[in-house]
Amino acid sequence: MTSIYSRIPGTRRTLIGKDTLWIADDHLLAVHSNRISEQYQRIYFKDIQALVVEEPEHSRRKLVLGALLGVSAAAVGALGYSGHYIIAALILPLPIVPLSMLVFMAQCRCYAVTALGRYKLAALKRNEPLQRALALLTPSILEAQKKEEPPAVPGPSEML
Amino acid sequence: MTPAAVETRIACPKCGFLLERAYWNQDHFQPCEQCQTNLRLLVFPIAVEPAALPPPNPTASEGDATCYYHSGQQAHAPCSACGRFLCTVCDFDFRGEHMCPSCLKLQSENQVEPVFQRSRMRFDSLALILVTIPAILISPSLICAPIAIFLALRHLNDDRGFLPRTRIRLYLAIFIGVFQIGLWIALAAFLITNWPSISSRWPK
Repeated sequence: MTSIYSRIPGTRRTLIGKDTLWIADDHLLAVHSNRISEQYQRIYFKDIQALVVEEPEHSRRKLVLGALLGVSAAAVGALGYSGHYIIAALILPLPIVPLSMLVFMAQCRCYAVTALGRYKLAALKRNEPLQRALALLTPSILEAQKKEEPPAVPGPSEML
Repeated sequence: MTPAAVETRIACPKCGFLLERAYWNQDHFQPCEQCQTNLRLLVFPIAVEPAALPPPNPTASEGDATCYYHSGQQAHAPCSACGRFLCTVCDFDFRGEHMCPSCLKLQSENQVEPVFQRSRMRFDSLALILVTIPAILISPSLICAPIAIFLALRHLNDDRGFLPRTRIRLYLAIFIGVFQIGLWIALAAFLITNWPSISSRWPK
């Protein structure tokens, strides 16, 4: 079976889940997966009033994660330097957690606004995939919202 | 009569402050007046143009076919599935066909059509998880590997859903599961054949 959906750039991965976006002819499909099952949310192009992109403020979070990274890296370094190689090796993965959180931190948040509510497009959290996704989505939404012309009624002379 | 343009205002996702038109369709981020969050809004025509309303339903007069659900309303079209006469209120456009509310509900409950599917169990991922995560603790793989193989074989020919997806996870789960069972059998065979020498090494 050929799928009506094609993938849109952008993925949000967590330890136990994954968010992706798919595009069909007339709607957007947001898929939230918890590895074992998938939940689907459909947003029709003709209902989308706006796409809102938010640039989150992360300065405090970055500071805390940076401090954690510094402390854990220093602890590993100090233990290794003082000859406690086994303990240093055991806590070696510790700095990886804040480091990965810093690297994969959301650069943006995107929402699809309709007359009935706002839907977070969780898959779009990095700037570069967001730009590519918007380039794909915008023409489709505009096309779906193009006003349908009423069917041409033949004039009396044409009917004869 | 041309309907008046709707004045839609988009709210800031963080503080709910209603953003003016000055924010719309800018190629750069602008801070929200209230919470200072940087925002960029792509606003589409539907936000300012009212959606077209369905045509008013004519009231049935004597001799007219009437709607199955609204006896006072003139029938507009028959349901493509059950043939009941429908007025414009009860006539749902589904893939270019006329559908009545009960047939549409039936379709929705059966979840045969992709548009009605709200969730789906992924047995291929479950089988793969069953042969990988328990293998870290070694002993649970004795139980989980056969379950994973059973699941993978049971759902090998299932419909893969409306999203593009290969069967690679199922094949991988079978392969890893068989490998793990093979290892358990090899371990059992080794213990059985070498049991006298192993048991003699144990302190009495």
